[in-house]
Amino acid sequence: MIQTIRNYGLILARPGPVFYILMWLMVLLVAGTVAQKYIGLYRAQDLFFSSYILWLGPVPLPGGIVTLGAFTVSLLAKMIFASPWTWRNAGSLVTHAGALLLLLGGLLTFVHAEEGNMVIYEGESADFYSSYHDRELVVEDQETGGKVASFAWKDLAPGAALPLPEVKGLRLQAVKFCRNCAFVPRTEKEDDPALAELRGRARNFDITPAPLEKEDESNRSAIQFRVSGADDKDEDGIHFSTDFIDVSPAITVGGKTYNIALRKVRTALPFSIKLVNFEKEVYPGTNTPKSYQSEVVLKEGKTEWHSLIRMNEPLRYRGYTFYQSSFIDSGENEATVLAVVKNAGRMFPYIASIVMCIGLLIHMAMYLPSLIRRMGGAAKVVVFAAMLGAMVSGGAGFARAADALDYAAFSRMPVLDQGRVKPLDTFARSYLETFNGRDSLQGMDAPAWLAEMMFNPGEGYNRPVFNIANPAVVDAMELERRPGHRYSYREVATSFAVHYKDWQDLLGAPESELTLAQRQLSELFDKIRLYADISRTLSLTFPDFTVPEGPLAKAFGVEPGTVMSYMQLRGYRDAIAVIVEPVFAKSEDETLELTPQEQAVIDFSLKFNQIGRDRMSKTLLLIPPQWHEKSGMADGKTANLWYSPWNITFFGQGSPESEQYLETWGKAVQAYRDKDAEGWATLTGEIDGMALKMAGDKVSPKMLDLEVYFNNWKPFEISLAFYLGAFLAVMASLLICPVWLRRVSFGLLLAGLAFHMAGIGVRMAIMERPPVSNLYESIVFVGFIVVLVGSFLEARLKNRMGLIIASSIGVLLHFLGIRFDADGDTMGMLVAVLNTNFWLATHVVTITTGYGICLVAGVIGHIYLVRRFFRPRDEEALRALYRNMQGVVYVALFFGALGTILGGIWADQSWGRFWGWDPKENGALLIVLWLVWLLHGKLSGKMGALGFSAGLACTNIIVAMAWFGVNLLSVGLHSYGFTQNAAATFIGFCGIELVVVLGLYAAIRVKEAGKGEALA
Amino acid sequence: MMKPQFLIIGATVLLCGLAAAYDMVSGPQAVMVADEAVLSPVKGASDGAVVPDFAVTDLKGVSHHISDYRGRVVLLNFWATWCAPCLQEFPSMVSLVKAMEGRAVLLAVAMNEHESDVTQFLAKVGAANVPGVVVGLDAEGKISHGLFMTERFPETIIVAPDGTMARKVVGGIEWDAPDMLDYLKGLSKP
Repeated sequence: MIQTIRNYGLILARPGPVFYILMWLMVLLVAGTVAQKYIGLYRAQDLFFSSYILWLGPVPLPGGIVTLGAFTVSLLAKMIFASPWTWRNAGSLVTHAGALLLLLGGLLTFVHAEEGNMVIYEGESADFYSSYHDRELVVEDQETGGKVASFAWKDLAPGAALPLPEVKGLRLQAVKFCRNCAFVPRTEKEDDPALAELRGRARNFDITPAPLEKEDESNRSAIQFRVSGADDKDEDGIHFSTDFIDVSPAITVGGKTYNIALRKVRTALPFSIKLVNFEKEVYPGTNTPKSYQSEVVLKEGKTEWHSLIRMNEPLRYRGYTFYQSSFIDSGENEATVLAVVKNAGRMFPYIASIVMCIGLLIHMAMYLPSLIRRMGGAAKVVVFAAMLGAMVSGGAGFARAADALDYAAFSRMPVLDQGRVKPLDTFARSYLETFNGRDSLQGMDAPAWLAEMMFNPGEGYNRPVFNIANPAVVDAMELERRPGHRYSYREVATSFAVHYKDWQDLLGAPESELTLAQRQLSELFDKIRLYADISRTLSLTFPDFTVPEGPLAKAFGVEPGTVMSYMQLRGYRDAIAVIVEPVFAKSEDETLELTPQEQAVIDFSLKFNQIGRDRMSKTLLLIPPQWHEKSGMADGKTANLWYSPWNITFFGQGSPESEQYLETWGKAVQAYRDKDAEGWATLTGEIDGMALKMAGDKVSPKMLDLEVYFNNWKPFEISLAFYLGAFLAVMASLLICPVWLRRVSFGLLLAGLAFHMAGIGVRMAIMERPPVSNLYESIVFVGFIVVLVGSFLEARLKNRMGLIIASSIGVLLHFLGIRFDADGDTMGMLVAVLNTNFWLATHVVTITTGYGICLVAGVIGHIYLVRRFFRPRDEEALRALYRNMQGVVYVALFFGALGTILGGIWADQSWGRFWGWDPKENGALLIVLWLVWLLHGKLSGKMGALGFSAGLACTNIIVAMAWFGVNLLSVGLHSYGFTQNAAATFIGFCGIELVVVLGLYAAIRVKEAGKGEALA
Repeated sequence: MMKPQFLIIGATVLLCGLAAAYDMVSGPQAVMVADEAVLSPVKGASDGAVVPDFAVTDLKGVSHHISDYRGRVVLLNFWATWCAPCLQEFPSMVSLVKAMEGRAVLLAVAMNEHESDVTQFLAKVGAANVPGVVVGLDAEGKISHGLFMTERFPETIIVAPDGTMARKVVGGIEWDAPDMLDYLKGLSKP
């Protein structure tokens, strides 16, 4: 008997079944993820992942639970029957034990976990939570509020009586109901016989089933039910209830009144939670929430605990966990939304991940003894010299400009932009990039450009800055086509002014209704307005008003010809009006002719009124908060907000300090226009000092300096140059001087790596956060990991493979990064849930490291295929390559699995669920499954070296799907920014990869079959 | 004989069980309330800065320096008779000054061209000859605009007895409400 079990167990324990199970699991995963775009997360999850059977038409296929169950059984069988206890096998054993634990935890969660949410208004308390999806029809005692009976949604049947022994005499019958209903107003007259049986709201509305919404939460369930046996016969009849709004008919039976209502299933808690206070904070000047928190009192019996629930900091008590999930702000009353989870399997992922990681580490420690040898002496010299040159080039690169003005202080000035205080240099670069596509102009750096467009519009407005590459747009605007595709503000703005009437509808239309050219036109229109907004930031300080001879000079008490600014003149608004009014009256009478003096008065007043339009300028926030009080304006913005010179007065936040600050700006503008280099340098220095003083200790001048240095230095571009050099050198080494050139290439690669690392380090210092928090940073970081791993391989193997991989991918990813960079400032702020250094540092860094190593593995796969095709006789080298591939797969698997699990733990910490089948989570899992599948294919003998390498080469596609592809679905929590161009690039990449890999695979098969060769 | 891998599995399961059990029975973590650093607004550049000195001539032709009032709380009010909320809040400022019993001064800088508008208004609300209420004209905004950058009338800067600016109030409010009185009394304590 035992022997029989053992025999069956051994069959189950083979890698073969696992190979097929994994394959099916991946199909389910991809299908379930893509389906989310069309049928929503809840239904996709129900259909693909939480199902026993997946019906494909009439064909039954194993659903998620069956598949995972089979996987668990197979794993268990392996653990019990087929794992020899040897040191060599220890790592594998421990890893499998970890995976088993994870699956068991998942099972426990599936069977046992309860979840829902609580909505608590400030000052109120709650002692139950509501299910997200399950509905029930409840009968409640109106007096006590206690539940008398309830009927689960799935037990309802049209026309069926609902057994209600709890209330003698009362009979209920479900008439009709729908998961998602359309509410149809009834048109019949009051005395229509069709209404005779209907009671209450049922007389107003009929319900008909509507198609299910993508998000299950948006479904509006409703029911019509028949009541009989009520004390008052008028209450007998068909009633109506819905979970969408509170409709609960009251029925009196035997002198007692009951409410009957359809609602989300409520589960009682053995304690209550009271919300004392809810607070949320947004990043200054934006609507992006920075953090929310709920101050609550947990009360059980006579005991009370004060507690704070925050994003990523849940409250745990008695097996329940309460997470800050969302909030409701109705204007007068705030409510917190807490997610509630009770899950006995909660600890499993934590322990399982530790166990699995230990296992993989043991496994790797046995297969990858690491030895890094030093590089040769001659190469050292080359590299050292190159690095020194690059360092110096960075330091010397401070703002070049056509004029002789010094922009050092101007560049360093602090401004608030996109939620972050940054130097004006970064501001100038990111906006120039928005207009121009590059962050500098020929012979002119961004700060010089900014100064010119603001202070000297005569030249600035004529400088070709706007990049209009699409000839259709150029033609529509009736501009001349020209090489370089750059047009000045004046040209573009004039064209818009001419065509504005024709384009009015188009410019306000939603993006989805526009063609590419129309969309670009509309974007250009926004850019033009942005440009105008920025260029008029300081116009109130411009010495633009020459006081004419006559009454105006007298009113201002100045000599005629004196030049004044709007700031100096604004107190004379009434005086100007009094003087101008009669002159205007005269000008309207055609029989009278104006004297030159009167004409001057009119010109002056027009100019004065025109500048008032600049009031809307609000992009360049130059002025730090002046007062800590709420401004008293209706929107109640706090003083965390910085101000543009125009809107500081609008918000009533002006102060003696801000007045002085702006007066100094006025002088600096004059110095700029006079080309007074000394005055400009002194005054901008003064302004910089004043701004820093006003900003207080929250802004560090050292960090501003560092950021300006970083902007000028561009370490990633230097690093790109080095990688390019390394790539050329290693390619050349295939033809000449193999030894020396390999060393030079390796040295260049390491130098590039140093700059790459330094760049990442400086960014971390400026942002005060871990290296990866957005897509741009993930590209930079993956590049870094690839080069690091490539260098490691090269040091160990010395066969140029590591060099080729590292330099080629390093160059590619840097290019990709620079393309992303063109979207503006890459150092944006993060939404609340991402704003946690600990999890960014662990999960995100690990998973992107995993991506990087997977790419390395993928390229090795390519190299293997290419070599096997061109040099099949070099069997020794091929075998070595094959061995390396396996090693890299283990490392990739380690980081991929660890990163995925850490992501789950983060999700558990933030939202109370370890795994939610979110597309990005599925993407990460797909990588892990893919690698595990390859390994099992190899172990089970289903894949030879050729198949394994082809599969490995395809890892690049899998990574691209997980990294970028899931963003195409634009569902889920991780959709961090994606453009249409990127989508085309992505699809192109996957297509080409697939063709290349399959082509090589097929070609090798054909070639080798032809020659009758068989290579193990 | 028991295989060693059963030991591993057994130990991890036991560990999981213990951890889960601990999770079930432990009390809620007690986090102390309100993290000031997270949610309090930043101090502004002008909070606590010394108010710049200036002179304003009252309706009787007497010149007043704001520095003359060191030792008393000064409500530096920027207003005008063409500004409705200014007129609405003015009487409550006067009554606040009275309630402060000599420890506060209202220095009301009016951005009005015609003195008569101001005198008429003061007479109407009975604020013409109240001790501690000083009203001056600043027709061209040399003080309101030029020195204090105030444009959103009414704006009031509360100056502490040591001459530092304690806070700014933008828009009209009820000045004689008890919390404002308490606040000013707190400020005027030595």
